[in-house]
Amino acid sequence: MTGKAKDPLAGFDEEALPHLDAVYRFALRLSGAPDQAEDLVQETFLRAYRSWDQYTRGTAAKSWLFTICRNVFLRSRERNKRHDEIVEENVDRSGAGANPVNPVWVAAIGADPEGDFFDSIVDGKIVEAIEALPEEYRMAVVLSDVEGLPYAEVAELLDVPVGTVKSRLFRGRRRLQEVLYDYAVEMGYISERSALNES
Amino acid sequence: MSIFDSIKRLFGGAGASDDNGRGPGRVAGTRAAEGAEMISCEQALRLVHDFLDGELGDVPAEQVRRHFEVCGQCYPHLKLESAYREAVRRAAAGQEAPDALKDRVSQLLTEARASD
Ligand SMILES: [Zn+2]
Repeated sequence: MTGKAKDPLAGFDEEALPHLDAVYRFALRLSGAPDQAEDLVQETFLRAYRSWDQYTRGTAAKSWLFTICRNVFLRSRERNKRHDEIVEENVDRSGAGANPVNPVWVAAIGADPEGDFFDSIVDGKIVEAIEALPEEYRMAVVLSDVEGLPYAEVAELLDVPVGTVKSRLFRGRRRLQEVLYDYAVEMGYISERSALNES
Repeated sequence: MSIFDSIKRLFGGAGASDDNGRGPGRVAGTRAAEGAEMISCEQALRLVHDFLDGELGDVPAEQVRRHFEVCGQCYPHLKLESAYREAVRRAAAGQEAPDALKDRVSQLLTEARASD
C-alpha cells in the first residue's frame, strides 16, 4: 500500500501495461493510421511513465492513459495543421428533445426484431463504419461502446460535460446504426420489405 | 405484431405478482405502491441507453426493466440496441497491438528506467 512512496514507479508495469492493447485501439481510432497509432502508443507510455507520480493508484488507469494519448494526438495534429471534421454542438445536449423512437429500429423490427443481422456483418465493416464517423461521435462511441468507460470518465477525458457525452453518443450511435442497417439491407442480410408496411 | 401482443399479454398477466422483495431500504408499503408505478413507452425509450450503459442514476433499473419485459412495442428496441452494442464490441474491442509495438514499448521503458 505504501509501495508508491518508496518506489515512485512501483506498479507501473502492473497497472499501465495491461492497457496497451486498449491504448493502441484508441490511438488507431484517433489517428486512423496504424503507423501513427504506433507512434502515439510509444509516446503515451513514455509520458505515462514519466508522470506516473501524478497518477492515483487503483483509479481508472485506462482513462488516464487515454487522456495522455489524446493530448499527444491533439498536440501533434496542431503541429501538422491537419483538421478533422468538427461536429456542430447542438443546443440540445441531452438528446431530450430528439425523437426517442429510433427510426432505424422501426425499420428493422418487422424483419428482424432480435437484430440478428448484426451477426452477419463482418468485423472489418463495423470498424470501417466506426472510423467513418465524425471525430467527436467516433470518440464517444469508441470510449463508451467499445471500451466500456462510464459517462463521467469519457466526459473527463474529452473535457466536456456529461450531457455533451450523452448527446454525442446518442447521435453517433444513431448514425452508426443507420450505416450498419443500410449495409445489411444492401447485402441482403435483412429484408426491407416489412419496413415498408410499418407506418 | 401479433407475436408481441401475445408476449405483452403473457408478461402483463404475471407482472403484478412478481415482487422478489428487492429494493433496499424500502418499507413494504411504498414498494407495493412503486410496483404499480409504470413508466411510459416514451420514458422507457429515452432511458434505453442509460439502462444498457448502467447509467440510470436515480431511476430504479427494475422499473425500466419491467417496462421492457411487459411492453411488446419497446422490447425489440432494447434487443436491437443490445445487438448493436454486442456487434460493436465484438468487432472493435478484440483488436490487439502488434507484438513489435509491445516489444518497442517495453524497450523504451527499460531505457527510461536505466536513465533515471
Ligand atoms: Zn413501451
